[in-house]
Amino acid sequence: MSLLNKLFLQGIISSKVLNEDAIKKLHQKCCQKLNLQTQDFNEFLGNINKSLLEFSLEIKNMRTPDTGKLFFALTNTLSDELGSIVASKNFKVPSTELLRYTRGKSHISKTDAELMLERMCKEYWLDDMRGIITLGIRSLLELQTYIKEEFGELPECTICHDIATVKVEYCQRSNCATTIHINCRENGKLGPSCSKEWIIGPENSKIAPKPREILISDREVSDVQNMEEIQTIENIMMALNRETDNEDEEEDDDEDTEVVQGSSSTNLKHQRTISKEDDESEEEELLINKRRR
Amino acid sequence: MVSKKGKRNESSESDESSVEEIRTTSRQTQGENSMGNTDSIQREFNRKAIVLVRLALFNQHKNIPLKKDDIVKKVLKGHSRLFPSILEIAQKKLEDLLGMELVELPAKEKTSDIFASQRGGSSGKTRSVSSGLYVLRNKIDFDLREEVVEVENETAPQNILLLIILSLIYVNLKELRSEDLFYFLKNLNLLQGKNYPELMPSYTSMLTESKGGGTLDTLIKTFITQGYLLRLKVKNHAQSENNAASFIFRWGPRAKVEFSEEDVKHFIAEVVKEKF
Repeated sequence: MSLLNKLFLQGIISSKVLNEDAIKKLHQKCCQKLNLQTQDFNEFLGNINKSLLEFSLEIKNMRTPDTGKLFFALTNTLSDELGSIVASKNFKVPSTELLRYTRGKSHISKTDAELMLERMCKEYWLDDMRGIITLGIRSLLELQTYIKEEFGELPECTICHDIATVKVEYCQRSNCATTIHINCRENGKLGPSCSKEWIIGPENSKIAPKPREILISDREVSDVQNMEEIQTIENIMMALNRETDNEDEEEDDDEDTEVVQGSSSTNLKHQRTISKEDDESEEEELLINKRRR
Repeated sequence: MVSKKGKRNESSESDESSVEEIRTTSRQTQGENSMGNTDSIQREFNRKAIVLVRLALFNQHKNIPLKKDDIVKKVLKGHSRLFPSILEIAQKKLEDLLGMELVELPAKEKTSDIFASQRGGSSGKTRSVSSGLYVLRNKIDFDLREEVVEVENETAPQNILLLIILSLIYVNLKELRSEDLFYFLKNLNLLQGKNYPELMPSYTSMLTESKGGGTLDTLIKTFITQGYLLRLKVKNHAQSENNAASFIFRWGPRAKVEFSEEDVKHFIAEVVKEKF
């Protein structure tokens, strides 16, 4: 690979995730440093991805469901490593719900868990939409391959053909299972023929990802679905915890006995997509513990 | 490697000899094999080298040197004799893809007695034991990288502290007593025992803080684990009644690999220039 490509690649790795502007600026900067003419960006990117093929790496791009902006990141196309991430029907969980899960086996206090969430949002693994946590652009990019392997059918935006998680609309007609991103529709792209009537609301989705067999033990599929997003987050947290094992010792901490309300004051305002009674959540904890063993 | 020498055929290049080795082994187990095996062996080597490259890249965020043991376990599935050949191929790939290389850290100095080598005798020659620890190092010129590669903002304060400590050690003829180090740091208003949350990444918790996460001692311990600093106990020949152990700090093997003396001199010059 040319020095230009090497420099550019180093730039991408160090920036983790870049929006369209940033990545094009990076390209220009690299050319500038090496006194080279800036060539066609897409061709340039294509060449780099060609050399990355043998390493099972790829610079992928995708529109974040939040704003519809295009983002780029270097991703792993092999699903052998940090695997077990699961998609849920809703693809979103209120952060308060997530924090409740610190009660169980993981010895993380709620404040620590919140910091962990913050960190993950900063590093683009998760997205915090006013108190509701969803899969961030980095997770979506990295896990596309993996999720498709695990779950045959996934809600997919018919316009951009990427996974449709949040800010998604569903066709109202009874036989039609079309889903689209709100941003894709608004960006002036034409929707498929049938729809003038789009409705929002995950309960309207006619395609629900099949939960992994391993999670279905004593409970119904529908009861388990929201747990999956939580499980996703947990797995990411565990993975991150493993990575930072040498830096912080959060896993050795004493359990916080008090219930700490997070600093995000918006928690109470938002509708909970999951209604839970206390017994149910305790049952779920037992379920997780059972699975953990 | 001694075992390899014993099995070596006529070919002198280490790459070929390990290929030969495997070929003879497979011939023993599978009967007659055609020369086409060399190609598939080369392809297999290539595949393993790619796994090593990926391992090196993904290991980066841990910020601890990559162990040879881990490489042998995860990439070579225990076949340690393949290590040199696979490493060589991986180096070529790293250079070609990213302009980086895997560098082995120099062996740790075991003794704080720097005059041991001069005294001669059995302890005369410092036995060069390989460290078996590897770090990724950039081969691309710093000037080119300067505005392209993003600086890690979260750990920047720690890095500056490290550079300060390394500079202090350097100007003190590469060895600094711990009392002296802490004295100098005190002059910079960095006190032992005091917690400095500003030195830690923003996502570390208050719990880490309460456990002394942002203190000089913890940070120095981190630098030692990462391989940047080396702390040795001094043997007090004279006073053996004095139980208080004294320590000296030196550059760790990783610092020797990642920082050049020129870098440090530049840094010091910049700081002094600012001051005067």
